[in-house]
Amino acid sequence: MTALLRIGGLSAGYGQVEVLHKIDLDVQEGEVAVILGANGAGKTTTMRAVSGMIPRKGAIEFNGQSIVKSSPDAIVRLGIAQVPQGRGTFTDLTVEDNLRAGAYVRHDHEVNMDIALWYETFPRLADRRSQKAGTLSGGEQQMLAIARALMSRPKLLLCDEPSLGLAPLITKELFQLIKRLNEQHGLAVLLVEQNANLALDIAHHVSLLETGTIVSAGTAAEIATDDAVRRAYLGA
Amino acid sequence: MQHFVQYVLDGLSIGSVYALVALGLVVVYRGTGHINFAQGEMALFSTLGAWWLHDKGLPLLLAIAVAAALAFVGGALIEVGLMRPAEKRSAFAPVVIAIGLFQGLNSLSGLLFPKAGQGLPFPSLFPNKPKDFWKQFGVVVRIERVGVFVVVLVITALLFALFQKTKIGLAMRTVANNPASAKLIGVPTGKILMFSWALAAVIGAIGGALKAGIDTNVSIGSMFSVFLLSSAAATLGGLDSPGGAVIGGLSLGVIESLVGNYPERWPGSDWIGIETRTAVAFLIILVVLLVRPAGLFGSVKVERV
Repeated sequence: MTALLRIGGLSAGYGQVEVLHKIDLDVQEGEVAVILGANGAGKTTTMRAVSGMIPRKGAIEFNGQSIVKSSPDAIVRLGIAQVPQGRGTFTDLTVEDNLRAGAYVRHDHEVNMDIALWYETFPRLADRRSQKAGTLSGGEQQMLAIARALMSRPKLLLCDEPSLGLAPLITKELFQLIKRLNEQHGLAVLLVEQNANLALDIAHHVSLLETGTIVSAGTAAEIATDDAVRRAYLGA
Repeated sequence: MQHFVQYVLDGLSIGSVYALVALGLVVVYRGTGHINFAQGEMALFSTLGAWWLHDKGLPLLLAIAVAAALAFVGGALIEVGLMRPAEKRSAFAPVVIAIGLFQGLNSLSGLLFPKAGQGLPFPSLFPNKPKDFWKQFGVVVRIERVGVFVVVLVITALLFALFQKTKIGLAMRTVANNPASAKLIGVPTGKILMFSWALAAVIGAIGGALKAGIDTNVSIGSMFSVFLLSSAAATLGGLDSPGGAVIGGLSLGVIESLVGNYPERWPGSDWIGIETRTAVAFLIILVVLLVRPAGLFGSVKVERV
């Protein structure tokens, strides 16, 4: 396996405040990588740094190409799509327009085909295709946010706390879906979560983020049996 | 009844100009969340440019088209050179820059066209001699007024098609709705804003030329009242709604015309008239906004969590 995303010595923050302090992290092709961390650990900052939404220093390589200086739209064009925290759907646009907008960087003629494909995966979205996204439930909006990200045909999907604000059953469904996307489509996923139980279920590799530093990393099995992790994140 | 229809038709033509300038305001507002205080003076500057080109011998339609094309470039440059750097400093800076631009363009107009203070003769795009009218059931329909109205309808339809049917229109809607998410799906938001300003400048240039045609002259102060009424029209229609801007502009024109013409027919209402019609129009807007703060067609945020 080769690293699809390689992060080395990455620092990032907002204005004068540095949130991430020289973190290292790899995402292999075809794997689900999870960053576990509490509130304020720097999970969202990591996501925003990879997407080019905030100033950052260090190295970020995607497919062997440096993207640390690239603009957000150039990064999407290379094949990284982000599902932002709080879903970030276009609430005034219809479900279908949200999906179409997700394909903004594409210039092929298969956009309608992909919309049909994701309607099959998410029948609830098909039922609501001409409804404004703002009228969907939280779970439906999360589905829409993921489908919209997939419309750009990414090689790497960034998911920022998809479980936030969702009922446990919906969250479970959501993680099964992410797992399916990974297994059936070979989609690499970098997911940040506080919900360790769920995340460890679908993760291949896990990194622990605490106050802007990676304090521990390993396979899901290694992390799940680590005593410190169990105490801090699994309530055991 | 004949009089009523007559006044409504009269109102629709000046209302069309308000509608156009309001459309320009809405296009910028949707992208930036700011009212472009310089919209009226940008239109004035383009109209003076069209006057100059026409004065130098270009046919009127071509002169207006060239001025509109230059306005497109000018609008884009204003966004890149003034608004974007200002936006980075503070959220309020663009408003101040726009007010400065308003003042600057007004002064520059006076400097470049000293005679525009008293007004420069500006021909209408449409036949506007006293004989150019149709009379139907006692109502006088002036050809020029119909022409102006049709131009506005066509531009509105084109804008609607742009927003709903094209990729750049879809991108403009995503930027208007959620700029951060627009970036995350790969929309180059800077370019979209640049295009929005350019488009607004073109719409304004056409509005300015129509207004000058109706007045048969263009003067330094002429676009200020248009800007005031257009911003009121946009607020009335809902600042993020292009359709609302058009309906707001047309309604405002009609209200002005009715209020300005009717008093002698309403006993006890002789305090309203030509002088107070604008105040009455604003009063009506105030009442509407008290009931519907987002304007008639503005989007009220519906969001489930």
